[in-house]
Amino acid sequence: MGDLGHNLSCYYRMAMAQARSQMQYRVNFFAHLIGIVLTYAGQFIALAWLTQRFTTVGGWRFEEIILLYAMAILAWGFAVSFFWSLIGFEDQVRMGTYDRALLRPINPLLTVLGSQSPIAGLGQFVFSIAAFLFAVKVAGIRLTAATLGYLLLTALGGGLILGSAMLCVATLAFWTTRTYTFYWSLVYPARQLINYPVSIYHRAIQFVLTVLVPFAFINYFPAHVLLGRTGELPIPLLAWATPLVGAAAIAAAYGFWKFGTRRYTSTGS
Amino acid sequence: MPPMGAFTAFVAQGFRQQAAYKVEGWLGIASSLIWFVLFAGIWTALLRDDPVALERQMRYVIAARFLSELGFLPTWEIAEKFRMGDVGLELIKPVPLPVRVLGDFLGRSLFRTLRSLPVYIVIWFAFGLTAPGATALILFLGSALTGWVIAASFQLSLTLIALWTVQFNEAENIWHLASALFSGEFIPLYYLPAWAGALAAYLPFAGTYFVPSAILAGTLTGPELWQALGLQVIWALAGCGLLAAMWLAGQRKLTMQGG
Repeated sequence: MGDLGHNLSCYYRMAMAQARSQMQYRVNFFAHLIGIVLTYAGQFIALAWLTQRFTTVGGWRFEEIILLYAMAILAWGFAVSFFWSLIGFEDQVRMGTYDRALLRPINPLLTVLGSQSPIAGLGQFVFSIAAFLFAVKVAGIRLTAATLGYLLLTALGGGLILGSAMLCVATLAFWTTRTYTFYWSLVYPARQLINYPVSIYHRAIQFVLTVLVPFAFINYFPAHVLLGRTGELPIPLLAWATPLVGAAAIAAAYGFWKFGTRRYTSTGS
Repeated sequence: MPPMGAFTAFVAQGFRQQAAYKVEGWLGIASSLIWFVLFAGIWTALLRDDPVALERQMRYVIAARFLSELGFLPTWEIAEKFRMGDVGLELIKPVPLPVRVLGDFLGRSLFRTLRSLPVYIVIWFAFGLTAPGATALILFLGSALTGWVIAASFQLSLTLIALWTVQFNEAENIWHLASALFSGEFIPLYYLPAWAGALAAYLPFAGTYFVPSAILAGTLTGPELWQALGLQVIWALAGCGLLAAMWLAGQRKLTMQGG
């Protein structure tokens, strides 16, 4: 326990130093936030136009899909805040700077995670909360302390699912010295799939998004709880499983990471 | 070397450079498939009850996804050069930066397009779509390349704002936002609200996705087709003019990052 406390305390100090560093460039930071908000706003307008023309997408109304968006972005906010440095991990492997993490008296993964600011997901948080409140109001969702608690747990679970995907991408760098390409080619487009109800896709894709890459647990299944529609799922229990799936996914990804670190050989000087 | 010869040489170099990255090639194909699943899933859900409209839309989606390969414009690489101060070296090279960059981008885009072509052909026939006629194919290719000129010239012009400011991504962000809404990459203009569709038809974005995709989908014919192609050419010329003007003016106003 003392060891865990020491690790987390070191991580906290490194991450806070990164946050202070990021806030030295305030204009850049806020310009980046505006960029994020513009991107999401564009997606929302497109969705509004689509549902204006066709009413529903696979039986889901505009505000219900906005709820899916909000939950996905909230989880992504957590993932970006804690795991984004993994996407650039190829630089550390290629340049040999991962050696530095191996020499420090804390878990090397925490050194990698601590090399970024933990407030990187601020734009996602702001936007997802606004979108969530909109969806709650229009879809007539009854908010209770239990609902909010479950939403928070789901967002954390969803963040862990996304974080585990990013950790797997980073681990691949030990073999391929690539992370950016894997992220932008596979994880990024796969994330877009869950902006819409997973039920619109072919059964094979639904299976992949439930079992192999469990992104459906980030928003699609838990949204059924908030909308009071768990009865529509083939297995209603799936709607409650996100925190558990998140914990299992990150544990599996961490196992893969431990396996991958054995492959690491420094580039030398 | 005459400018066209130099441009062709950079296209060939960009093509060979992209071909050298084998892993990226395979991942690119996987990426194309995921994006296709997304768009095909959405439109199948929307048009399930209208088989004729669904078939037309599947043609449109395949064309638009194919064009997204052609529209690979890594302007961030150029922005990074400006940020690091490397642009000084660009000024002493005999071929102007826009010619070299556009040649390189086109070569890389062409490789990505050819790499994914078999995937899209397989998808086309897997969905039982009839093969497009020769005229439609020729018009599609011509329109696709003109669309590439529009996107490349305007986006690079926006990147060149960094000649004055060192770092400035916001203009490109706004271009991407407007493009996402009005280009037809996701929603064809005829499915937009009437006012947005009418406006979008006259904006440069329509030339990058909607016009070529609608040609292949068979929804743009007769006088409307020629008007759309004419507008595409006008926007392509305007984009090239803007790029040339920005480069000439920017060299005189260059702000450089010192070391």
